[in-house]
Amino acid sequence: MAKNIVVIGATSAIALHACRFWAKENANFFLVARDDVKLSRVREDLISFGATRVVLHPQDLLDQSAHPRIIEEASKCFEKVDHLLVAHGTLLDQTQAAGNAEMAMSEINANFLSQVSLLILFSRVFVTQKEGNIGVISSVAGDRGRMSNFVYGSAKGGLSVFCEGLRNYLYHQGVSLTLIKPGMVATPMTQSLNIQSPLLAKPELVGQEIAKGMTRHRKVIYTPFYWRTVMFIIRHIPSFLFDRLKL
Amino acid sequence: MKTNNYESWGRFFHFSHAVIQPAWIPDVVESLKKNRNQIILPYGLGRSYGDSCLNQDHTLMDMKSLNRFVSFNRETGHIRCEAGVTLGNILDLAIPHGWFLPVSPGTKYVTLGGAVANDVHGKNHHVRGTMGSHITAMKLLRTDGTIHDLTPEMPLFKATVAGLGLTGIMLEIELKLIKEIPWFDTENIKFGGLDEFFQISDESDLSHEYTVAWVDCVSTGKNLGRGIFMRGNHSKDSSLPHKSVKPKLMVPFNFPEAALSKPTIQVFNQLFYHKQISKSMVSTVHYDPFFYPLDKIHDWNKIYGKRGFFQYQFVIPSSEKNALREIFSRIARSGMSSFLAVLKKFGDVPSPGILSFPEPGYTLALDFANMGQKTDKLFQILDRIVDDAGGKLYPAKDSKMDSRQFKNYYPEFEDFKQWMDPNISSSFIRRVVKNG
Repeated sequence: MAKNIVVIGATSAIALHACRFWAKENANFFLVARDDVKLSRVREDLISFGATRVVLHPQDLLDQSAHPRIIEEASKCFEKVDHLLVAHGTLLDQTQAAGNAEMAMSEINANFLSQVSLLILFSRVFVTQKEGNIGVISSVAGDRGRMSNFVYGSAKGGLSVFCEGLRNYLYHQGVSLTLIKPGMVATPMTQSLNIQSPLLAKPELVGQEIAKGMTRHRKVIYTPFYWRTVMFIIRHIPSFLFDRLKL
Repeated sequence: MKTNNYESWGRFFHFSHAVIQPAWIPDVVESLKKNRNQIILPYGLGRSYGDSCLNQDHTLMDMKSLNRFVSFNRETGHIRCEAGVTLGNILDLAIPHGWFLPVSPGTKYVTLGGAVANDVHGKNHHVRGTMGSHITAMKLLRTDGTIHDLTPEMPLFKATVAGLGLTGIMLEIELKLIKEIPWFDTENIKFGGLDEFFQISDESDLSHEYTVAWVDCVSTGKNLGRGIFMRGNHSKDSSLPHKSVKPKLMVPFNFPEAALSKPTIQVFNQLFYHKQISKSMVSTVHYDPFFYPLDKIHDWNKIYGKRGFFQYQFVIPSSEKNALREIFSRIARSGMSSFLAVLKKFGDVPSPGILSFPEPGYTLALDFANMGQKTDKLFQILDRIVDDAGGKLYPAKDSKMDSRQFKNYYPEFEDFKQWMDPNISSSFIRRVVKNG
């Protein structure tokens, strides 16, 4: 039977490539993102790849009061949700965010608080149906605070810890949660940073690894895989040494 | 954003560009409004060899994030997508449903927009013509903000196919695929010289959809123009799996120049020719090694080191066989031969593109490491032979032709130029057209 998939932040490049994987298996989609023009482009793309039905729900995700309606509409649309992918987020220039409390707070809201609100509300749906999988896109940046991106990193770090706890809770309800930690990915979100790095991955690859990992109910995905090793090393650098580095 | 990161495949030009990176079609429209006075050029994946995809000291619009599909009709094979979708993306989507690209150039890492702008050709040119012949519709944005829905009979469509990106920004392109499986029954035949090549080529073009030859350009004397002729047809064995594959190898750094010394290339050419012991070898192969052998090695252009390299591709009329002999002998004598020389006979399928490169005759594509004046000198000799034979060079590969040559090769430019967008330009067109 065709899978039912809900995607929050569906216009992100990584989410699109994850969705293509499921679209090839004729999945149904409920897509949420702010911009309705972009959402309809994503719908056309997924239908080209074989999606059966694609329902759009344009909504600014920073507006927390609108969150309950998203869950309501998604539940109306699907009797059962097989996968929820929470993929929205922003990435500000750290030099701006670190010096501006207001910007830092909005970065935390966009990358942590709004996810918490949505995940708590959606968890109820999954607990009722006693099955399904939730995927949450966090980041390797959340594994250790570094001078180059600790505002974004702290939001993602908070999100990762929240998801670990939620996964523990949902486990007892028959629901799995996949915590996704992408490294640097060449997407519209990162291109203004003009990163030139051999570690920069393609969204095609990352999206596909996410969809495969969620389908297999994996607990934590580092994508591409080598970030697991890179972050293991970074986490284990002693602080007296770490502080001298400019990471 | 200002950057020096945008290069063409030959890595000979190092230009500074301002760059716009739209991710969605509305962003393209918006960024044009914001950059009204800029001279821009749409940029795909930079697989053109020379400067036709570059715009020195001006603006590039990087189109690669515009890579979404709009529709795919599995009954008729019509596929519509944004211009930044690659041929590889199309194959991945189309193959499992029994469809295939009507025209494949030597790499699948090109955007469809780039494939149309250069009106690319492949091993089946004598049967299917160029990519432009299979485009059924386009949505083109001009820098004045107007959007044009183009169909093949419209003059602006004909200018945009092979138009080197100069007529506007392609937003969406519709392509008609062919109903074929991704496997090929192929035969490789050794030939001892050009006369044998001409004969096999003429025979094969009647019986095979795909024909091309690799020629050894190191050997002289009785081995001059020897090589391997490769021909194939789509396999009819429907039990073969419909799938696509992923490449593996990479060239992560620039090779030292010694890697390209004459002895290395001689050995390479010897091995390539003698790899096949029998006169003819028959096999069924997957499309990936058949069409895109070099895609296996990511960034193979770095093999030529930091100084970059040139590709030289021309077409001359079929009657000019002596000119072709002369070219091979000049190259062999120069000692500057290339790893790969690819020879093919173009057919007479017309292209809708006003500035399209292919025409009936023999086309030869060669790589040359950049050796400064020595290379320039050889190109001058080759240019003269091509000019005298009534041939022409391919803008997508070119780094050297001048305005006199361009005018001579492309008299159609006089008709084309009325369709150019006044705020779009490229380093190539400024080089070959004064006041371009």
